[in-house]
Amino acid sequence: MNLPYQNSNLMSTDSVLTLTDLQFGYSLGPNLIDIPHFEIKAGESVFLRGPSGSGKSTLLGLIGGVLTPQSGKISICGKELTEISSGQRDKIRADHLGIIFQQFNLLPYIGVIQNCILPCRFSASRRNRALRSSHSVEAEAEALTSGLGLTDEDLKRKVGELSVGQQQRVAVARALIGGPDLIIADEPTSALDHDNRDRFIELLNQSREKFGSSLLFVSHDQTLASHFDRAVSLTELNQRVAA
Amino acid sequence: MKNMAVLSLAMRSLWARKITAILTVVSIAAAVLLFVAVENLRQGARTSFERTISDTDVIVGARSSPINLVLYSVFQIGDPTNNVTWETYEEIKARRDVAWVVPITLGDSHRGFRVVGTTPDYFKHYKFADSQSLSFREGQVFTDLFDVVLGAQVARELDYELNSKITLAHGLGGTSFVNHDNLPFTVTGILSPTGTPVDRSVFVSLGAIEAIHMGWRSGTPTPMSRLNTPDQLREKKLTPENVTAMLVGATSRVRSLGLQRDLNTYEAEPLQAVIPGVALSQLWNVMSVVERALALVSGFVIAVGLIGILTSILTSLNERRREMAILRAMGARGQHIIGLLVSEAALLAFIGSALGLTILYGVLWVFRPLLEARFSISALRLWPGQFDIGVVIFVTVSAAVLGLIPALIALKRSLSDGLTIRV
Ligand SMILES: Nc1ncnc2c1ncn2[C@@H]1O[C@H](COP(=O)(O)OP(=O)(O)OP(=O)(O)O)[C@@H](O)[C@H]1O
Ligand SMILES: [Mg+2]
Repeated sequence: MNLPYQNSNLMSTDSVLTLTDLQFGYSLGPNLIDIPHFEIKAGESVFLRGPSGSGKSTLLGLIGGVLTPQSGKISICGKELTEISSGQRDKIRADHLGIIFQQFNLLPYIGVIQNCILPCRFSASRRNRALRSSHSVEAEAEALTSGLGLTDEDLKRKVGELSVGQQQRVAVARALIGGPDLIIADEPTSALDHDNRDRFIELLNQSREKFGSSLLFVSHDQTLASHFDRAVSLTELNQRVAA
Repeated sequence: MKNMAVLSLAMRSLWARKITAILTVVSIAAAVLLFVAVENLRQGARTSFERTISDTDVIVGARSSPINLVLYSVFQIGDPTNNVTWETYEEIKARRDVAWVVPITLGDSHRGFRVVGTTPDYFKHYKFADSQSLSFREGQVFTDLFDVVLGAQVARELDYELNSKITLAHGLGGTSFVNHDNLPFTVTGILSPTGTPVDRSVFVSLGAIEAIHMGWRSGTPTPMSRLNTPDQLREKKLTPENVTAMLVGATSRVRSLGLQRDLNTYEAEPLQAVIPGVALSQLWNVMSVVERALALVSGFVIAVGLIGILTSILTSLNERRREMAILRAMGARGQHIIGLLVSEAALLAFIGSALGLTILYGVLWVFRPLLEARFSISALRLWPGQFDIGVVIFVTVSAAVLGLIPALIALKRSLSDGLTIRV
C-alpha cells in the first residue's frame, strides 16, 4: 500500500466533476436543484453542506447518474452524463465513482471481503486497477481494510456483527477499491460519535489521497468543514432556487 | 462474468432468506409432484385400460349398448341385460369366418369377486396387452366339474392356495344370501397377475354353472336343488341353455367388420356385436372427462405454487430496498436488478420442480417391486420422461416471466430512490 495505483491519471487541473446549468425537480414538484456552475478538480476534497431537505442526496443521485436532470450538464471525467444511455451512465458510475452511504452500507448476506470487492464485480476497469497492486481483488480488499484499521478477526465476522464505525470503514475500503476518480459520501459520519467521526474523516482523507481520488463529502454538520480543501453550501450553489 | 456475479448474489441473497425460500420451494415441489403424478397415473390408467383385451375381434352379447356389453363382459362392471341362447353360440361357432368362440356365463360371485363360467379355451384365447396370454402361476385349468381357477388378486386378497375349498354365491353382489354352499369347489389353478379384470375373476366350467343351478327356478333354489350329490352331478351331461356373452376370433382381421355387421343383424335373436378397440376408445372418452378435470385441478395447483413464488418475492422487496440501492450504487445496471429478481424466481421454481420430480420418482423407484408384483408389468412410468422435463421447463420459465413483475417494481423504485438508502 506504499505506492498504490493511481486513478485515471488526471492532472490536478483537470476536473473530475463539472455541473453546468443543472436543473432538477421531482415530478410535478418545483425545482429542487438549480446550479449554474460547480466543479471538483482532480485530487480535491470538497465539503458540501446544506440543511436537511435541501436536496443534497438528490444532487448525489444526479451525479451518480441514477436520477436524470430536467436540463443542464453533468460531466464526470470529461464524460457527459446527459448525452448517454442509462446503461452507459451505470458504467460510468461503476468505473469512476466510489459511494459511501450514511449507514447500512453493506449487504448482510455476504462477507466483509465480498462486500469490499462488489465494485470490481460491476466494473472491469476497477478490477484491473485493483489487480495492478495485488494478486487478487480479495487480497486488495484485505490490504485496504487493514490500512483502515480492521483486524483479520473483523474480516471473518458477519457484517451485522461489526460496529457501525467498522462498517463505515469497510464502506470506505469498498469505495476506494480500484481507485475511482471521485468518492461521494452522503453523511457517512452521522451515525458515529464525535471522536470516531474525526478519526473516520482523517482515515478517509489519507486513504483517498494515496489513490489521488477526489472527494465530495456531504453533511449538514458545519463543524466538519475544516477537514476539507474547500467547503461549499448547497443553498448558495442553489441561488436561483432560494430566490 | 457480470451475469455470473448476479446469479451468485441471487443465491446468497436467497440463502439469507432460507426459511421463506425453502417453504416456497416445497410448495412448488408439491405442486409439480401432484401434477406429474396425476399425469403419470392418467397415462398409466389409459395404458392399462387399453391393454385389457387384445386379439379378440368381436364381443357378442344380447342387444344392449356397446359400452354396457364391454363393461360386463370384459370389465366385470354392471349387469348383463339378457342371455344368448346356446343354439346361437353353436351357429356362430360353425361360421366359416369364425376361428374360435369362447362363451362366458356370469351371474354368480365369490366374496365380491365375480364368477366367470367359461370353457378351457378361455385361457388359450383371452389375450391382453400386446397379445400376451394368460399364464398359471400355480396349478392348471379346471378339469373336474368342481374345479375352480382364481385370478391373481382373488388368491392374494382371500389368501387362497391350491386345493383351498370355496363355495359360490348366487348373484353378482358380495352380500348374497342365497348360496351354493352345498357344492364346494376346489382351487386347481391360480393365474399370474395381468393388471386386467382377469385378476379379480373366479373361473369355473360352464357345466359347473349348470350344476350349481340344478333345481333352481328364476333365481331361487327349489327343494329339488339339494337332491343331487356332487358325484351324481358329475355323471350328468350338463349342456347350458344360455350364455351371457362370447369372445369371438375371426379367421382374419379383415373379416371382423363383416362378422360384426352380420351378428348385429342376426335374425334368430337380437344380438349386440362390438369390436373391442372401438368400444374401449368410446369408453375412454366417457372417462376422459374425469381425467381432464383432474389435470385441470393439478394445473391450478401449479398456478397457485407460481403465485406463491411471486408473493414471496414481492413481500421481500421492501426489506430488500437497501440491497437494491447498494447494488445500484456499486454500478449494478437496471438489467442486473431485473436479472437478480428474475433469476431468483427461476431458481426457486427450478429447484422446486426438480425436487418434486425427484421425490415422485424416488418413491416410485422404492416401491417398484411392490407395484410390479401387484400389477405385473406396471403401466406407470418409473423414470422422468419428456413430459416431466417439459413441466420443469414450463414452471421455470413461467416463474421467470412472473419474476419480471417484482423486478420491474424494484427497478422503478431504485430509479426514484436515487442513491439514497431508504429502509
Ligand atoms: N423520490 C423522491 N420523490 C419525491 N420527492 C423526493 C424524493 N426524494 C426526496 N424527495 C424530496 O426532495 C427534497 C430533498 O430531499 P433530499 O433527500 O435530497 O434532501 P437532503 O438534503 O439529502 O436531506 P437530509 O439532510 O435530510 O438527508 C425533500 O423535500 C424530499 O422530500
Ligand atoms: Mg440526504
